[in-house]
Amino acid sequence: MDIQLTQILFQIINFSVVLGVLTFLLYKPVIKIFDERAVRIEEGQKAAELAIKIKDELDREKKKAENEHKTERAKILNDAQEEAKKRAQEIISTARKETKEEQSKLLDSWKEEKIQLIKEAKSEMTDAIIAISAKVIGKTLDIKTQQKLIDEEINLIIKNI
Amino acid sequence: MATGLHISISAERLFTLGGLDITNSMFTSVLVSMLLISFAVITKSKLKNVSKPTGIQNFAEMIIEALHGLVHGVTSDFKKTRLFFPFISTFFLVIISNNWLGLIPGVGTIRLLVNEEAAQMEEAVKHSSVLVNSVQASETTIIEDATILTTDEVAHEDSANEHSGPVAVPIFRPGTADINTTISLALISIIVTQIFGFKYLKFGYFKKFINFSSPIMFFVGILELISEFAKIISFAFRLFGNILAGEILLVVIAFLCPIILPMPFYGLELFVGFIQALVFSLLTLVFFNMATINHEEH
Repeated sequence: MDIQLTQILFQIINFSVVLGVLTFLLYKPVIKIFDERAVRIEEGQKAAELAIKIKDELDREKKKAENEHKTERAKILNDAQEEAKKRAQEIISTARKETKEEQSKLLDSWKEEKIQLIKEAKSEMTDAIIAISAKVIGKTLDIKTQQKLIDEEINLIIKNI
Repeated sequence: MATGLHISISAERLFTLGGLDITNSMFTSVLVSMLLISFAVITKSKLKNVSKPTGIQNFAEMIIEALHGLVHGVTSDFKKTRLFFPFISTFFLVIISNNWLGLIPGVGTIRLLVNEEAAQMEEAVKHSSVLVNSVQASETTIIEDATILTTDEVAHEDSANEHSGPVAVPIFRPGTADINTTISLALISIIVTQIFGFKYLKFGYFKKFINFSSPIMFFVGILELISEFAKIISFAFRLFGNILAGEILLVVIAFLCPIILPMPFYGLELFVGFIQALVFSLLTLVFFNMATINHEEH
């Protein structure tokens, strides 16, 4: 082995040069990039955390709104159902009332018609009876007497009906 | 068929530059440094602050993030991590690059013809000048130096007789397979540990070594001081020994059976190269961290 001071010094200088050059051209710039990247990542993480917080907040609000809407919807539905029931009852009762009115009207008109028909029949029958009785007895009774007799007979028939 | 095994424990001289002997390990270390610097320059030019990095930026980020995590896992202190990280990463990258570069085919086999005789002559001239200086100093020294010179000359003559012409020397040798490189890395590690200790604990750091509170603590302080020097030796020789052993193992296996058999050993050496880089970096990191913690605390 040949230990020489000049060679040792040369190697020390050689190493020092490499150390200096690598420090300024390689380590410092790359570490600076690492630092900047770390800052960027940290900022990104913070932003992500904030975004997650906002999202959670929005989710909570959304859920709250959904719950509110659900309650409101149920209430509206309930109200509507009640209203519909009420309305239906009203409609039914109105219809019933109207039907009854219509029924009574029809009954009245039918009665009137019946009376009218009876009157007409009575008049026709009177005329017929007068004509028949004139032919049977061969003489003509005065109108008042005839009318009296006819009315008595018809009322008797109607009573029997 | 190979003419023979070329195993050298020490790095071999390639050429001399301004009086400095440039060895193959120095050459490889500089090459590794250039590669790392090029990687840093290219990465820097392509850096973009994007969420999904690609290509070389992705690769660089992957390495730096892993090492940064490793450092922070030990220190658990943001400031300390930022302070220690460049040293730990550079240790790791330099050591692993040197270790793995030694596994590339061609490293250790591509050789350069070096005129060893000329180099030996230069060395002899150096010794002669030492001798002349010594003569001027004292007669006793002259006799001693002359003896040494004579021994050296004999050795050089023997060597010259063996290699009458230029010698083929590998151009590349992993930096970590040279004890000078590992000693320099260990020295940096230990010196920087002391600097960090002083930076954090001020003069209180030296209480670890000089403590007169009790005879036991005084003795412990001396042991601590010795352990600091022991760390240099342990750091340097662990790395050097492991990598050199791996190099020798590969050379021997390739010499014995050049086909298929070296493959598992290459895998093993890749693992050893990584582990040694990690061990050196982690131990340095632990020493840095321990030096910055108050002695009473731990």
